[in-house]
Amino acid sequence: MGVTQWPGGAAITTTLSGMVGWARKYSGWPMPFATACCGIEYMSTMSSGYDQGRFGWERPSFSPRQADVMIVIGTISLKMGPVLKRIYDQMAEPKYVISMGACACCGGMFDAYSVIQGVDTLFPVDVYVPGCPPRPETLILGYMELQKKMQAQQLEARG
Amino acid sequence: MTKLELQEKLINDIKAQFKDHVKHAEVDHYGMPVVEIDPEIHVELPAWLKNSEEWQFNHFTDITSVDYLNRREIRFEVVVHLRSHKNNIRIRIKTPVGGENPKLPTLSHTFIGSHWTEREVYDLMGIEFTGHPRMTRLLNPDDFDGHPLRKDFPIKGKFRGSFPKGTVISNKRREPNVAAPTHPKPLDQLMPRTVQEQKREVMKLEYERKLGLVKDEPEQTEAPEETADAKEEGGDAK
Repeated sequence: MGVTQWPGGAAITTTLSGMVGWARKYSGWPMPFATACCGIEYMSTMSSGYDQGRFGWERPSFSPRQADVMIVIGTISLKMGPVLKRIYDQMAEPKYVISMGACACCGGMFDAYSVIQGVDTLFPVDVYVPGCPPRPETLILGYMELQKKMQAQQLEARG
Repeated sequence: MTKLELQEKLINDIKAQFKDHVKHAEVDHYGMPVVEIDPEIHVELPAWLKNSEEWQFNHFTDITSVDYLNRREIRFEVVVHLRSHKNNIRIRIKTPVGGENPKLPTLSHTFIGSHWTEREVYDLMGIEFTGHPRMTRLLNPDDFDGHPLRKDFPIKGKFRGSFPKGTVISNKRREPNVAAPTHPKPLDQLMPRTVQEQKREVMKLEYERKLGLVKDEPEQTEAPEETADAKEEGGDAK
């Protein structure tokens, strides 16, 4: 990226991939799939105290069709697994997944027959946010890590 | 009559009514009448307790089951709790069930409240209740394999909740596995009325008569004839 001075102002030259990545990382529309207590921490992150809108993640989308990032928040039971997979399949490409909390990452303390041991058994996960539950700062760090990934991805890798 | 005397009278009544089918009956140390019975009277005893004028066990509290793997000859035990609002006493009825596929007749035609709890027992312990209108799983998915509250169910391993790698998980909506209803009539028609319900109906009818909402039957039959006559007369006059 370089800045060139012109008589009427300045122009920035960059690659198309870099520009698309820059636009994409500041307009990620998250879809919260909250099933457990981590959802309270997500609500805190979403509202004005921590304000996830600062990162361009302004609009929580409660429909998978209009979402870019799915945040899986909480315990996923065996009966919920196919439903979650169905929702993931409905999202348009490019799509990203954040797995928030110990239960979504690896089953957490529910080492039982009725709980899925990590949502990565259902679909690929981009960022794992550990904690029981993670503080809002941890989730924001997860956002920023995913933003780095969005920026670094080449166009053809995005699908 | 104290509560203990009432409970002992209940035990003696049950023994007199169902003689040989009652294996063991006593008031235990916690003041709870406990009755162990044969599977043959698993429906008859609660129905008799519900419909008898004296006892009126009209509140179905719960139905659960116990797994005595390697501890008893007959592996399972179904436990029913009933309560009588009239006498303010409770009763615990235990029925042993054995075999590879344990089966018992359903209580849901006597107590409608046992509908879902019997499904829960079937789901988690695998005891089938014959004659139940919808004997399917209540909590686990319909295609779940095994009954998780049995003592020989593996805590870890095959049933650990995660899908093994390479499993294709269908995102299609699954059709629920619903068995055909075994009784054509709905449950509320099959259930016999309790003594209290019958009394309540009579009281309701009397109350409505007082208010004049319901007229007696002879008045209703006479009334349309009079009006019909009046109309005819009126028609003649016109």
